[in-house]
Amino acid sequence: MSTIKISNLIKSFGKTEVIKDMDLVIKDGWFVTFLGPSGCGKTTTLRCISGLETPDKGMITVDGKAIFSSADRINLPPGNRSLGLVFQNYALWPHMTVKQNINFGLYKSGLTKEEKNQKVSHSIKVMGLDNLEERYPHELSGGQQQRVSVARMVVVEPKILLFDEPLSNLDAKLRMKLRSELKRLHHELKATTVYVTHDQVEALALSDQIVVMNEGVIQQIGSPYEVYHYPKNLFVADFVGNPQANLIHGKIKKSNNILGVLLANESKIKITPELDDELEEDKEVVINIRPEDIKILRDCNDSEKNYEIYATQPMGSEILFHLITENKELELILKIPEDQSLNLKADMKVGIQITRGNIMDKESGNLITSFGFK
Amino acid sequence: MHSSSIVKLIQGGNSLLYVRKPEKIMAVVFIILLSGLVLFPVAYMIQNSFVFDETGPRYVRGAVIGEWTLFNWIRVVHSNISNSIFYKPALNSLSISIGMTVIALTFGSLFAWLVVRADLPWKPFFSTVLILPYIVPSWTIALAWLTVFRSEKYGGTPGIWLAMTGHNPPDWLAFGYLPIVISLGVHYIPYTFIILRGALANIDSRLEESAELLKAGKLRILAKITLPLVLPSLGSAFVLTFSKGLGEFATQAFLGLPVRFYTFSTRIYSSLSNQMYAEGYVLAMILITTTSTIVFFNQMMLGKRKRYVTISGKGSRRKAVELRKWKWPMLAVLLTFVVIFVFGPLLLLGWQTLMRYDGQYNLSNLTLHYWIGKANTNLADGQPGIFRNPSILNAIGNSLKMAGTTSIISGFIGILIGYTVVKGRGKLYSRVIESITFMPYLIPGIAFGGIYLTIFAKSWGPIPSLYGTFALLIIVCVIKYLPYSSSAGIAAMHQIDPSLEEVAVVHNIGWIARFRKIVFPLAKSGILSAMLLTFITTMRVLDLVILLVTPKTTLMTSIIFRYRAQDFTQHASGVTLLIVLIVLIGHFILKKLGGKVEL
Repeated sequence: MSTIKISNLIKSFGKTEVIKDMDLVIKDGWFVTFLGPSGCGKTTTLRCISGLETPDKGMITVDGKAIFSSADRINLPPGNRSLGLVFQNYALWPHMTVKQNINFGLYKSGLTKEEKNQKVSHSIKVMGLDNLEERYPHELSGGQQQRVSVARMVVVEPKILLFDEPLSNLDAKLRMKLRSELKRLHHELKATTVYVTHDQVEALALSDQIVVMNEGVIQQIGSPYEVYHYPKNLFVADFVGNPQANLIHGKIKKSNNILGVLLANESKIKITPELDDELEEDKEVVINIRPEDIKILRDCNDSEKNYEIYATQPMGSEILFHLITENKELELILKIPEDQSLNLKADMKVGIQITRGNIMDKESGNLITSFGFK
Repeated sequence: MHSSSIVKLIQGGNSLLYVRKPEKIMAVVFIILLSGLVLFPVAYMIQNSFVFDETGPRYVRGAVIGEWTLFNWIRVVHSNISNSIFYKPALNSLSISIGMTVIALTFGSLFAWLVVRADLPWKPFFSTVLILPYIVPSWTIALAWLTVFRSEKYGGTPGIWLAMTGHNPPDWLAFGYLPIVISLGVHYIPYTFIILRGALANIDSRLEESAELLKAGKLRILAKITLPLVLPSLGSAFVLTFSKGLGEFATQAFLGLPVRFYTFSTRIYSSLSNQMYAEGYVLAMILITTTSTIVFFNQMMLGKRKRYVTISGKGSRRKAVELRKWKWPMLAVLLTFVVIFVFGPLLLLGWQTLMRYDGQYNLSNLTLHYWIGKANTNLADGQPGIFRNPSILNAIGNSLKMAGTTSIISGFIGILIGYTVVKGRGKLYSRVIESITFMPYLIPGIAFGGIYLTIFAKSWGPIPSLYGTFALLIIVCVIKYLPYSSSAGIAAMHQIDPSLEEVAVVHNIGWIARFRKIVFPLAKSGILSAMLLTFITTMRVLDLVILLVTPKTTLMTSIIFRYRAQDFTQHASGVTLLIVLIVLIGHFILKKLGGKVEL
């Protein structure tokens, strides 16, 4: 059992407040990802949990027992928090072999030599490092190095696993492979896992729960599905998703049971046939639409063909379309399965249909309502 | 405080939010230690330049020893003797510094350009050999100079010049300004050579090549492209050489003192060795202020703090400038320089040690007496040969012991300071420690030795008087070379990613084990070079220790100084050659280790 509870956490470096009054519960056995751009405080939060960084204020408990509390002046040394940490740069000791690296992790375990050897060989086997025991880190590939650092972490059987952007230094193919290995590891160990990344694909693929952060403040906590489809605010809408979501800025216009927006230069875009009574006429909004939530209409009236295909980017199974209105005011990115994109070419005029999206308040950036979801 | 929380405090576990980090404890220790050994001595000197010393009552009626006064300052800068104790020596020092800097810079940059950019043969040979004058003790050339130009006027035996021409060389050629400027100038040629070599090697040759494509001539490219690009380094080399020249002691002592040609440093030496402490302090302070101002001015101009030059030994492959008809003349210049100023002095000194009667230049006069001979009252007042001479052997032992101990302690302290400074990056204490460790760089050796002499002549609370002890020599060397060892330590620590230690922290591995098993093994190669360099430097140090050695703690360098004064020339030259040998071996090992040579 290892439920981590963070309350009222504050951490500053000099005058910059890196974590601003954070509250968070990480449930036992969950895989939780901190996602955000660099400088958002995600790594600092992880380091506060590990004890390598001392928060200014607040409290962190594991299963109700404080490991840090500014009020009670408690600050457990990192080594006494029974957690393991994997760094982005692997942090393997370069003057030790694979075996020595893993073995030195057990330096303070109080085990006998045989017990240590047994544990080391076990984790070498689990991480698929057989035959590499006697190699030095510089003789290993990036992926192997990261496996060694994971092996070194798990050999001490920590109750909490912390990962600080562990896959960022690897190429795309290896990242994919190690991602599934990490997921498998979590499935087997069932240890509470906190994972820091700026890569939203990684976050979406791995997590039970994603914590989206920006400028030291949690923006949204939710499952990958929630974060992707129901962003709570503009930041999340903009940050999560690749390619980025379309953001249409304008004023709400309702007429003939159709919701539309008026763009800055008076051209009108039809958004959805649904009507939401809560939306006031003329409210300044930002409409957030995923590239896959727009359809291209080829066989509509010419009056509806308001878009021109600016460029196409085939991506294998999908094709990205870059559409632009005649007056060049609005650009949209669309993602369409390859088999549905018959003969669409640059310069063709087309119409669109928006299937679903989220409407955000422009002023506060917060979600007002969603449409098109079942 | 609750008893339970006291227990917690002592256990050092949970309740110690802020003191757990060892670098903070070390920072406190270092700040105390460095304050005592660097800041306090300087403050002590400043303070004592404003009070009457024991000689005060001799000059001022009613002067009370220890009482506040401006007398010392007035005596130095505005009295009937200021001319001889301050203005003339200061002027001598300035003109020596300017002269030697001009020589060093002219030849250093010419040689650097030839070695880096021109199509000269035997480049690797020159690159190695041209460094030698800076590695051997600075007074090697001075001693060799005396061998050639000594004149009967000042007693002693005749030099080669006299033996060959039958006339005494003119005074200006034998002693004083000119020989000092040439000896020191040659000694510092490698220094400017190394700085300029680095600067030239760093120039992107495409900058010059694109000028060539635009049909610019070679001289024009040199003047309009190359020169402006190396100008900052050139300026820096000028300033650093100049400020080092102000503090030089040994050469000026060997070539100046016999004719009472005083400079700043030799004046400080004679004031302090004659126990005119306050006067010595005033002079030392003026010297320190001057050199510090120059160095700080240089750093301001550079925009960042550049403590020393790093020779990485990196060669660059690029198109060399064709010298054509200048090729052979230039080669001749280089070879002449190498023969006369690099190998010449060493050969002359070697020859001298083999002469039964110094100054008789014939084969029948050759002997190994001064190396291995037993005491003979007809030769050198019965001083036995070097390898049979108990006081020389003692000095060799002392020098090796001092250099060895100093380098080990320096290496160890350097690594710890590096750890403290790098771990505390961005914190005030880190900057404070870094700044204090740099300060000894600004204090010329003779002044530094002088301060230590008076401070440790008496006891301070629990610290006994250390004057006359071996420990004092080691302390003064460790502190004086702190700028080098600590910057090596800082550089080594910068190369260790913090995460390597943090992993161990997470694994509950204590500080000592972390340091022993992770930090030290990773830092050791960088530190080893620094240690070897400290060893070499300490082996040949004279100015720093000359005021501190006692008969019990004689060093090779101080025995040379004494033998010169007593005119035991063969012994002095022989011991000098031994230092050269030890230093060259050290340098060779350093190169083999692939270490960077820092100056």
